[in-house]
Amino acid sequence: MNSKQSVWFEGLKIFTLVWMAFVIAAAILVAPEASGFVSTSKVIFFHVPVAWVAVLAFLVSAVYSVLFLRRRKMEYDTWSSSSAALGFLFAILATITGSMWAKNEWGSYWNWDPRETSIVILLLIYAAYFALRSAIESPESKAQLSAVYSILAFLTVPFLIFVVPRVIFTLHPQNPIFANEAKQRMTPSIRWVFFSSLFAFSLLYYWILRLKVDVERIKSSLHQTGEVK
Amino acid sequence: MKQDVLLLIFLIIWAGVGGYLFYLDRQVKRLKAELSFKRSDNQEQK
Repeated sequence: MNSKQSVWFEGLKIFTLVWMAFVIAAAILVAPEASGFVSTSKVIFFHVPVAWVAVLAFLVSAVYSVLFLRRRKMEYDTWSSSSAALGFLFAILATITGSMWAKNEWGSYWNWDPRETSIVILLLIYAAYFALRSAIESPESKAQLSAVYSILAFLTVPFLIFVVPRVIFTLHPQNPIFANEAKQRMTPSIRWVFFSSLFAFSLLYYWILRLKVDVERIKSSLHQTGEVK
Repeated sequence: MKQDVLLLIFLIIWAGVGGYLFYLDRQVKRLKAELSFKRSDNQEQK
């Protein structure tokens, strides 16, 4: 990272922290509770953005995999695997927080609801991605095979996240952004805080991704000098 | 109960995301220090 990029990245970090603090305060103090929920509806400001970032991270991983296969630069493999790791972390967090909410709303932590089942399948698919990477020693073969796997894995994401919960009956609340009925739609203040939160978590994802890529780059430099621990 | 659930979910997310961010930040600093030490060591040997 040159000095100009470094200053830009430092500015982005500060902006992300300020924006996130603003979102947290707005979620607690400004946004009203939606009616019809046993537990809090404000979970939408944290659980949904985490799930959104998981999908975004898997998409970025697939895009860098395509770039790797076209241009064969190891740099793209680093971005792809780092983004997949973050997607996995965010998907786990979305699963845990979702089950906490389900305990209060539906009475048990796990109900094998289509939304819960599809996220477990997605986690298993990406767990296999990391198993594949750890099983191959040659960096070139590892990058090549995992790029192909990452693209194939992402093809399942729209189906598991967007199609399955809409085709099969689910207890999970439906997407209120595209709701047909006026009473199911978000109020302007909820919508505003919700989209601010999506933006804040996306920035946070980029921050962590840059750090993870930096770690991999420095490790690679240390490997070249033969001194990695 | 409503606020308890929200607080718990909030804490789980920040323990995961914040913890990982902190870990990576520490790792970058440690590895950078290690790399600069190694490079200066190599230069001295030359």
